[in-house]
Formats: sequence, structure tokens, C-alpha cells
Amino acid sequence: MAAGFISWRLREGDSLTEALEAGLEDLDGFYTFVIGTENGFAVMRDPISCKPAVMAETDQYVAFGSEYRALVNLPGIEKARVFEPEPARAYVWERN
Amino acid sequence: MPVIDLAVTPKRDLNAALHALSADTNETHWTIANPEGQHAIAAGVDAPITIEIDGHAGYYCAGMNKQATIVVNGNVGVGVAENMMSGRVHVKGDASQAAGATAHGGLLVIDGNASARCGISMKGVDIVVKGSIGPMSAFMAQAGNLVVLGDAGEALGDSLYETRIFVRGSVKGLGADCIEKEMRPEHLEALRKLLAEAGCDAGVRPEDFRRYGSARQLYNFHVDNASAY
Repeated sequence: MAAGFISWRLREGDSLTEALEAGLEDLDGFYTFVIGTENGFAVMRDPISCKPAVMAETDQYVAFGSEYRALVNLPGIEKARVFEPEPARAYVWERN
Repeated sequence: MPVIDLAVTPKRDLNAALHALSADTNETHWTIANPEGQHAIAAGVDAPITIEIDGHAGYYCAGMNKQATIVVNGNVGVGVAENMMSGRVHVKGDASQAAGATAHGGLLVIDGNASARCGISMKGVDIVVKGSIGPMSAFMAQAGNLVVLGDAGEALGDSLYETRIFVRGSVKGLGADCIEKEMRPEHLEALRKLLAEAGCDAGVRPEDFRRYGSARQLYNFHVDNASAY
């Protein structure tokens, strides 16, 4: 349902950030959204952020996992910036 | 000086070896290599030893710790030092959610940031975070001290009991029944001692902190508070 909601917002002309922020208003419940589009990648956690989430970012890639263990085999992970996304904040990466 | 490589040794074998140690063991310094985010590393230790974990650890690292000094040269996942009884846990990186949850004693030091619900239901542990803490921290915290050199997120100290919270930076919002309180000389002294124990007293002045605690309005049922229960 969330996927449907976000796809609909994107179809209506929202940017990824706008679509995710609209979800904060309209969707209840515990969630972590990980979204891939043709040219973008985004992560959004609900304001309570019960569900675990961790991200790793390097110059080469950005990765998401529910825990660090899921990321350990990525190349260059030991030098990556590993961080936990904040609740209710849209993390968006887009290629031009 | 045992060195355990978790890329080779199963974690259960490591924890079993740690659990088998007696109080007078001569193997007092353990190094754990390649933790790679595995869960429950060095959980349930009850011996006066030092354990160094070289890398990032997963969930419940150093959980239920008694007596041991556990140092993580990296980040930790959910619930580091949860239900610690005594000893010391030092995270050199960041900590995920629920750091020090329900812990009864000992000292938890986090050099980086701690995310949501740091010190949830803490029952006597002292927690010192050199960075900032996330939302809902010290939720229902009962005893002990939570010291934050950075900022605190939303709903700090919601429904807390007798834990003392000291924050040097900004507080995004206080939870139900949590209020700012006067910093009296005994609090400055307690804070000074905690900062020294955590090894971060250099250039940090207790006078720069604010104290938060319970307004004690939710202890007993009162119909006017029904919406806050």
C-alpha cells in the first residue's frame, strides 16, 4: 500500500522527498521505506522508528540494511560512513 | 592475552569461553577481531576482565555485563550493555537504539552519538554520551544518571521516575512529566565525578549542563492526567 501511495505521489509530480514527506502525514504505523527509482534511491523511517535501519555511504555507493551485519561484505565498508537514519527524515540520492 | 578471530571462531564458542572464566582468572585481557556486526558479542560476562572488540558489533553487545570492562573500537547495534549490572562498557563509535536499556549498574560511555531510546527504563546505570542522543531517550527511566554532552531529541525523559538527566546542548522536547530542574551543588559534584569517570572532564564544565528530572505527577493515578498515561 505504501508503495502504491508513493508511486501515486511520484506520478502526480512530487519529487521523491515530497512523496516521502507526504507519507509522514498520510500513513500511520511503523515502517521503513527503501525506494529505488530510475535515477534515485531514498530511505524514510516513521517518526517512532522502531524498525532497525543502518546505512553506509562511500563515494561509490550508498547502501541500506536493517543491521550492519548485512553490509559487511560490501567493498570498502570499513572506510564507509556508517550511520543510522534519523526518524521522519527523508534521505534521498538522485542522479541527474 | 587470548585473541579470538570471529572470522574463524564461532561466536557461541567465544561467549562460552568468556562465561567459563572464574573471578580469579589469569586471562584478563581478551581481544576480539572481525566482529563484523555479529550479535550478542561478549554478552553475559561475569568476570573482572577487559575485552576489546576491534570493529563494529551488532545487537546486544556486552548485554547483562557484570564486572567486565568491554571496549568497542567501532559502532554497536541495538541494545548495547542492555541490562548491565556492573562494570564498564566503552563504545568508541556510535550506538544504535536502546543503548543501556534496563541496565542496573556500571558505566556506559559512548564517544559518538546514541540513537533513539538511549537509557530506556534504565535502573541505576550511569550513561555518558559524548555526542547527541535520539528521541524518546530515558523513557520510563527509573534510576541512575544520563549525561549528554551534545543534544537530546524529542520527548526526553517521557514518564521517567528518578533518573537524573544532564544535557549540555539543546533539548528538542521534553516528554510527559519531565521537567528542567535546578542544578544544585550536589548535582554539579555528581556530574563532575561522572565526567571524570568517563574520561571526558577535560574542558567540559558541569556548569554548562542543565538538569532534567521527573515532576512526579504521574506516580499515582489522577484522573486529570488520564491522557498522559
